[in-house]
Formats: sequence, C-alpha cells, structure tokens
Amino acid sequence: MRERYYYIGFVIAIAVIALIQPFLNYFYKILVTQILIYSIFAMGFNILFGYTGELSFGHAIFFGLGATVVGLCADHLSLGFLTSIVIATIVALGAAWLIGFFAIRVTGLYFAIITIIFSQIIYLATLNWKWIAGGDDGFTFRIPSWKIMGMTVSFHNLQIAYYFGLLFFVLSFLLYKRIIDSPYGKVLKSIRENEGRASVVGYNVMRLKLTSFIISGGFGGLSGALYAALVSHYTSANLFTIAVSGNPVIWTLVGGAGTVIGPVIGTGIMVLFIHFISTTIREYLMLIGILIIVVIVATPRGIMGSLITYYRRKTENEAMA
Amino acid sequence: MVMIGQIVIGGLNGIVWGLILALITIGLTLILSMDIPNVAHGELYMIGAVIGYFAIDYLGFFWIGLLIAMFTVALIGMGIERGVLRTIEKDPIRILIATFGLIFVFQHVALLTFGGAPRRIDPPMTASFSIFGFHYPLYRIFVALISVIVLLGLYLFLYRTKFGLWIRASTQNRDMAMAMGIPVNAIFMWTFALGAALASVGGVLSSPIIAIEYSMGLEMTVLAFIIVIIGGIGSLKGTLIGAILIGELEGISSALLNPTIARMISLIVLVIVLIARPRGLFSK
Repeated sequence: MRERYYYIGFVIAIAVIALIQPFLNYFYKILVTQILIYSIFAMGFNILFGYTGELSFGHAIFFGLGATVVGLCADHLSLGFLTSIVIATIVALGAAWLIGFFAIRVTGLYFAIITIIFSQIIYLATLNWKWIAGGDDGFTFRIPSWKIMGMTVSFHNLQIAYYFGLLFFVLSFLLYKRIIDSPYGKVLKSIRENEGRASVVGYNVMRLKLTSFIISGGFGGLSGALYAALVSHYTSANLFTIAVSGNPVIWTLVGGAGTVIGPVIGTGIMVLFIHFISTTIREYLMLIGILIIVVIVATPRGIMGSLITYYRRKTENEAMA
Repeated sequence: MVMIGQIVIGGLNGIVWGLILALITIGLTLILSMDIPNVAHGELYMIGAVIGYFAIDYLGFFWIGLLIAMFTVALIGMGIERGVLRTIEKDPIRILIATFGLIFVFQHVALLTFGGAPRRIDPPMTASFSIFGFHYPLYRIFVALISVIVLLGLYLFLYRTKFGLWIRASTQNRDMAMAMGIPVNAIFMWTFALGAALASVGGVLSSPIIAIEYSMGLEMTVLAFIIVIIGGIGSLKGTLIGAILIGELEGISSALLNPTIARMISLIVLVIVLIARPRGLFSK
C-alpha cells in the first residue's frame, strides 16, 4: 500500500517537473537540469555510503572522468551523444573497479583515505598533463546533433537538455530503487548494520563492498558525462578537485543517508542554497565545510532520516495509546 | 658528472624532506592511534606555515615565529578535539566526515587571510656550501638536525616519562587505562595538540624550502597517509622509515624527472605495498 503511494508521488513529481519547463526562466531551467543530473551522482553515492556504510572522498574521479571522456569523444572522435555517454560510464566503472581493487585491501575507514589519495594524485595529473582534460583552463566541445526525420535535435538547446536530464534521472532512479530493493541491496544493508555477522553468515563482504563501490562510481561517471554533454559542454582539471568529491557527501548528508529519496532532496536544497549564497559570499566552500561539520555533529540522519524517525515514533506512540 | 651531482643533491634533499615528513607523519600516527582518522592533518601543517609566515613577517625573528606557530596550532588542535571531535567520539565514521569538513574550513580561511599566491619565508641563515659544483644551502642541513633532535626528544618523552607512558597506555586500551586512574580524556586532548604541533613545526621549517600555498595541506595529507599506510598503521618505527623512504624517493625522482611523476611513483609504491603487504611494512 505504501509502495503504491510512493510510485504515485514519484509520477506526480516527474509530471510536474516536465510540465513547468515552459514557465521557468533561463537560470531556473539550468538549475533544474543541474539538480536532476547531480541527483544521479548523489544516488550513486548513497548506494555506497547510505546503504553499504562505506565512505568515499574521491568520487570526483568518476564525475570528472565521465565529463572528460565525453569531451575527448566529442572532440577527437566526434562520437554521438549516446555513444559518448555509454563509453564514459564504462570508463568510470573500470576506474572504480581498479581503485576499489586496491582500496579494499585496507580495513575500515582507510578505504575512504585511499580514495582521497587516488583522487588527489589524479587531480595533480590532470592539472599538469594538459592532454587529459586541458589542465586548469579545460576545453570546450560540441556534441554532434541528431537528425531524426528531418528534425535536428541539438544538445546545446536548453529545452532538449532539460528533458534529456529528466529522462536520465527517471531511468537512473528506477535502476537505483531496483538495486536497493533487490536481495543484493538488502545484503548491502546487512553489511552496514553488522559487517562481522554478514561475513559469518557466508557473504563475501569484500566483494560486495567492491561491487557497491563500482556501481556507485558508475552512477558518478554517468552524472559527469550528462553534465558535460547537456549543461556545461566543458571539462577541466577542476572537476577532479576535493570540492567536487565533497558535493555528494554533503548532498547525501543533508537529505539523509540511507533513505531512498533523501539524496535527491539534499541535492535540490544544496544546489539552490549554493546558487543563492555564491552570488553574495565568495568563499562559500568554507560554509560548506562548516555545514558538513554541523550536520554530522547535530543531525547525522539528515532531513529524510529525521522525518522517518519522527513518524515512526509517532505511530508507535499512537499504537501504545 | 652533472647526473651524479643531481642524484647526490636529490638524495640530500630527500633526507631533509624525509625528516620533515617524519615530524608531520609521526604527529599523524599519534592522532590515528586514538582512533581519530584525521584527514585534516595536512591542513594543520598548512595553517602552521601560514601562522608562521605572519608571525615572522611581523616580528622578524624566525625562531620566535616557529614557537608562536607551534603553540597557536596546538591550541587550535585542542579546540578541534574538544569542540568537534569529542562530541562524536567512538564513532570514527562521523569523525572522518567532520575532519573532511575541516579541510574546506582551513583551506578557505587560508585563502581569505593569506591569499591564493604562493609565498616563501626567508630562511634564518643564508650561508651555503658547495658540493659537486652545486651550492647547497646550510639551512637545509640545519632543518635536518632540528628534526632529528625533535624526534629524539619525542622518543624520550614517549618512552621515558610518565606522561608518555600514559599516552601509550590510553591509546592501547582506553577503558583499561581509565580503570587504572589515568586521565584519558585530558591525555587525548594533549595528544591531539602534540600531533598538531608537530605538523605545524614541519610546516614552518619547510616553508623557506618550498613555498606556502593554501592548497598544500591536502597534498601533505595525501603524502602523510601514503607514508602511514606503507609503514604500517599505528607503528611509529614504520612511520619514520616510511617517511625517509618516500622523502628520498620523491627527492631523487623530482631531481631527475618532475614532481608529478615523483608523486605517481609514490602512488605506485603504495599500490605495490597494498598488494604485497596490505597491513604495511612494519605492522605489529
């Protein structure tokens, strides 16, 4: 019964986002497209952090790789939209597999620290080796248009980008929900709750953590690829910085790690928040740092997590009365 | 001949750099032994160098500036331990995220006060001696000596004094130490301050050699954790040897190749260690 309400709510939300497009001005169209695409990044991160209980501070690698591979595909090979995005996602999955393969060897929290090490050194490489992502300056590129039945579909058109962002958001969300509800997702949760017990019951914890990291890296790569192909048409070494790695952390924390819709809500709130404060406060990243600390100290469950606990407590009290 | 000279100079630089790294990473190992995965350790090093820069600029005395930076960063460390980390103790994943947030705070405080351009502190001594036709600054040899003295002092402090014994006991078994009447909470605060002070000493000593930049903290965090993981987490001896090894490796490979490749080589060494000995070279 509750499941059905979820789906009805989801369909209504998607319909609203699809229908309000003509009424939005230029900046809000970009913002909504950004939120939809970034949400994919946050959902992937949530599979790793919220459901498996494993942290990564290096997810910029996958986002940056996604964007850079799309850029290189468009620039050097003039590949089409879908082909570049598929290649970019596969490259991100491969990178996640390689990094995860090494990182999984250390126990506990050092996994997250290895991801920082890899991400900073890859950032250093992209900064100094300009053939990868054009260094600090980056490079712009054009995505070739589609020609269907005499019509031209240009990916540099904001309305097209908006609907493609929405389409990929819906597809990713359905995949994400499917992963979480699957038996595999339930095992991931059991690792988060009690790693030792999950391993004693017979699950290969190392392998499951690794696959969770790879899936989450793939979502990150897809998000970066879509961002470059639909919104910015640009890539640079700055997509590999720690600030980009911090994004899914704060989005997921604010929305509520380990809740289905939390990361999406967190992304929406934070993107709007940063959009409004970055025009007045130049060093807004400092505020992000303070916010990370405040949220982790005061409300580690985030918005959705707190709401869920509140309702659970309320219904329990009513049942008792 | 020029090649050999370069290697010798690179090797000397490597020893100096390795000893500075040892100061910083042993500070990190002390903090890690309290189950505080502090990814903002490099930021303490950076903020130490920045405070040192301002103090030396204002006072004109290098050594007084060094002391001021050391005590200020120790105070900042205490503040972090009491104000932030103590509220979420025994939950390492939250501590990890909180220290991750601290990276942004420190970086942007430095950016606001110090600016984005790299700056250097003037060395307190300008004499140099010549070796293989290169002029080698005497200051670097002096830095190596100071580092050795500090490390020796730290060894005596940890293994020959009551306070050092308390630190080792509290980090080994917290509850047991508490049961024995050791003031564990205070010890943890002082140990964090000690670790932070060591990082800041490394920062001030190295800033006449490499320029201070707001982003250098994160690079140091990366290097420090590479060293800690290679040496074996929690092992002071492993950390010391790891620091000299990585310092030497980066010194020689930066002299012959370039700094980016040098960092790549450190990463490759880390990866090899992770495959061959995932618990580090000197794990207990």
